[in-house]
Amino acid sequence: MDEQGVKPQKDLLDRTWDFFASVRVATVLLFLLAVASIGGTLIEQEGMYASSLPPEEFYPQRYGPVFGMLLLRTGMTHAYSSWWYLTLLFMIAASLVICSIERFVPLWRAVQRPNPAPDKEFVRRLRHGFTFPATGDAPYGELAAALKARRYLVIEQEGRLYADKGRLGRWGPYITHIGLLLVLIGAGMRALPGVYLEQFIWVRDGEIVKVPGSDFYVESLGFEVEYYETGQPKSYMTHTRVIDANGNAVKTETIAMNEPLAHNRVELYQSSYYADYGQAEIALVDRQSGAEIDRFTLDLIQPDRVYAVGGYRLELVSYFPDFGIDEDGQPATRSSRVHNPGLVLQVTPPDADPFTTWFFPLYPGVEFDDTTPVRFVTQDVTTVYTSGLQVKKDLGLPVIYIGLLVMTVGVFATFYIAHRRYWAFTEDGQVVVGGWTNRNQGSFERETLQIAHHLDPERYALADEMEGEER
Amino acid sequence: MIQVSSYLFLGAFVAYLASAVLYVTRLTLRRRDPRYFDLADRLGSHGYKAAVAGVILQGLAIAARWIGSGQVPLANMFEYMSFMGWSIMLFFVILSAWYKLPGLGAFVAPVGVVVIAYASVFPTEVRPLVPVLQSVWLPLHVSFAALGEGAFAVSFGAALMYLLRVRKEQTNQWEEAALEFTFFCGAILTGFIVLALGFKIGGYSAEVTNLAGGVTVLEYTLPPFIGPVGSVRGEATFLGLQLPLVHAPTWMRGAYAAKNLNTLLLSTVAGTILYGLIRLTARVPLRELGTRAVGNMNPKLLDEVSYRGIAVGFPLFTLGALVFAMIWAQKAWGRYWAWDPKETWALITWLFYSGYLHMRIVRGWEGRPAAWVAALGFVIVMFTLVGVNLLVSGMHSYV
Ligand code: HEM
Repeated sequence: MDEQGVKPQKDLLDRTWDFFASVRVATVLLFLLAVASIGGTLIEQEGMYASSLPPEEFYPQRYGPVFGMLLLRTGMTHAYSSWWYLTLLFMIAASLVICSIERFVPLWRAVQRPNPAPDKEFVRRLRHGFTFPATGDAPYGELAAALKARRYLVIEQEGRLYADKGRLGRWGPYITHIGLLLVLIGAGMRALPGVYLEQFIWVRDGEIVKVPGSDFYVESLGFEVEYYETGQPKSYMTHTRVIDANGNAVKTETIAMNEPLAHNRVELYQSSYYADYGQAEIALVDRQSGAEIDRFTLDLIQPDRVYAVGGYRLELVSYFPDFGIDEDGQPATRSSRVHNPGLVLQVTPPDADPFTTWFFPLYPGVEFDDTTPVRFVTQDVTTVYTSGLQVKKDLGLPVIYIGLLVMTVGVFATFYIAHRRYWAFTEDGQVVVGGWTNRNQGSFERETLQIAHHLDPERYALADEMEGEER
Repeated sequence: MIQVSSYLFLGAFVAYLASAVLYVTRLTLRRRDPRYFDLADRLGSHGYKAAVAGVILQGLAIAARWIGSGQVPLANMFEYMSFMGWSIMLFFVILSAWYKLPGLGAFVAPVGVVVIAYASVFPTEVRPLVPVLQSVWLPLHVSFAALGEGAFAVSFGAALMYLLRVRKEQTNQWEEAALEFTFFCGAILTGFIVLALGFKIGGYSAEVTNLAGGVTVLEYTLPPFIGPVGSVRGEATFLGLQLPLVHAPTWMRGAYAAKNLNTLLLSTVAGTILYGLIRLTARVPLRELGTRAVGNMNPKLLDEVSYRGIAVGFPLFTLGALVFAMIWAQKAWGRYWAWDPKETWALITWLFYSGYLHMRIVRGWEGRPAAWVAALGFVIVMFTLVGVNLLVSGMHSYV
């Protein structure tokens, strides 16, 4: 390739670099991102709307055929993972990196390697400054002492004085930007395999369930819900035991709202629950005399096939945990949850022919046939909870936390620490002092005046600050 | 203790109101005649004292409520908004100590009063915390966010003053319209608060049938001129009028959409009347009134105060609205970020103020354009607190 072929390419690269190195561009990108974030809050997002319809059907129905299709096509229905949103984020990240690289070395020189002897005219022209008579052979002595008392770092060199404090404040924006990058990296990491996992498990009281994406099991020792006196829920919690792959119990812990369980980088969060009927205590009663023959315990979650009760043999013919009637008028179960259990039992008395009967443990009075010699009476029904646990693994999380910490340090350093510096030189028996700060000019002006007043009370009176209004 | 707290709160409100009135009177007197300067300035220093007293009283009110209820009083809309009002006044008091700019009080103290009054529109009783709210991250998240927003409010006041001050230097039709619109929006917000508080004190309530969003009966605290889908005329009355007059359009399916539309309509009507009254009495546009009030205050100082508000508020807001919010969301739901509308609006606010901070270091954008952004930033804050609740709902529906 000849030189002419290479040059425009390099130009493009240069121009791209310059583009991203511009704070003007970064500002525009920030506003664009702010505006781009609005749409997703006004349009219901995929996976968040309350409907079982797939997006292709939901949106045209909800927003009309034309607008709905438009939303789907532009990715507005998943705004925060759409190509345009990610592009903007990516451009901001690029801008952050390039801006910081561009400015790092100049800032290092300016802040960490200050020039104690700049051009005299530069010092004289600084916005803050004063002069005082130079006395003796150590003209800066008193000034240096005053500055040191104010925690300035003072350098005397080549007959000049330089002092500054709050250098960290100048690095604040860079620290902020690094923190921000870390947050973006931490969030982006979930795109890598094995970094991110999101699952949901249901664990019934007493049940042991393998935690997906991990090598351990969790056993529920019981779900519990507490209430305030008003009846409002106060807390939800699942008492659990962690069991490792070899079947050894590792630890016992309670998972509650805001208190997840963490084990091997996998976290379990209390997320929801439901209650089922568990065990029913049933009495077998002689219909005629009303006398109780015997009792037995019926497990409503997993009933046995056969029960032997006081000489009677009860065989389970069918079981409907959530009894209802289907479209054909046939008995059916509406769900696998124990909401309204119904049983068909074949009862063989000790000395008579077997017969078949229905029994509804929650409604023992409901009978299809009231001529049978015996009937069932429910004495007690227990409740069994099933706890819904969110299973999360996110290896990007530590990066995000560090990023947030760094960013916080950065913004506080930026705005709560001002870099203040003074230069001084001697000329014609006078010490000329010039001061500069990057923020809070007013309070620096006050400090400068206080130092000036200290060194030359006659010339510098402690006047009132800048007046905001005319007198 | 809760009762004590509400008396203290009332006392603080009266103090803020007095402060606002004193500051406004001060400016009015000053503009009338230089002879009144001394009297005016005495009023101004009383205004400052009233603001300080209000901040102390409200601080005690918050402490009393905390002790009385045994939980940090930052868990519902009343507690949040009143805390924000407190932080506005707190930063006003602090910034006034830093800068000699008593004129600021005439613009910021009324904002504080409006926010506190808005807080009082919400139910004030203490409710026990639902499980998700029982976390130290809740008070941290909420208090830092509100502190940041309080500083942004002061910045808003100063930015508005700056824009009014430099208005004449270079007239631009759009800016003129936008300034006037800002006052108009303020009037609507005030109208809303007057209506909501008036009807709350009057004890008005109406129940109408609702067929949208799974809520069957909608309780209105303002007269339901616009009823929900499914409501029938005559279900409610107000001054002998048979209400509701009309339905909300059928595409508004949110459970509370009709109620919010009704509130918006009534507030706009009340706000327009209020705006019209001031406009007719003053016989000049409100922006002109504002410009006269600002007089020839030092624009550089106004600009600096506006910047300083954001410089102080930005780190607090970052910590509260993003950092603590993310940690809490992670602890509670296992996801630090869920793109919930309110959460996203906090991000929008934050990006917007980041944009402002960068504008300040771009030559040519640091003056008026930046001041507009500073003013608009607080409008976004208020939208997040008021508008997002009205328009969309999400995880934050309990506040
Ligand atoms: C959400 C994104 C960003 C945030 C929160 C942020 C935050 C900040 C903050 C707080 C400051 C200090 C401002 C001041 O001193 O008044 C700052 C300065 C700065 N930012 Fe950003 N920034 C972001 C994005 C960017 C991007 C994308 C660039 C890339 C060009 C950039 C370049 C700069 C530069 C060059 C400075 C000035 C540094 C200095 O004064 O030496 N920022 N940023």
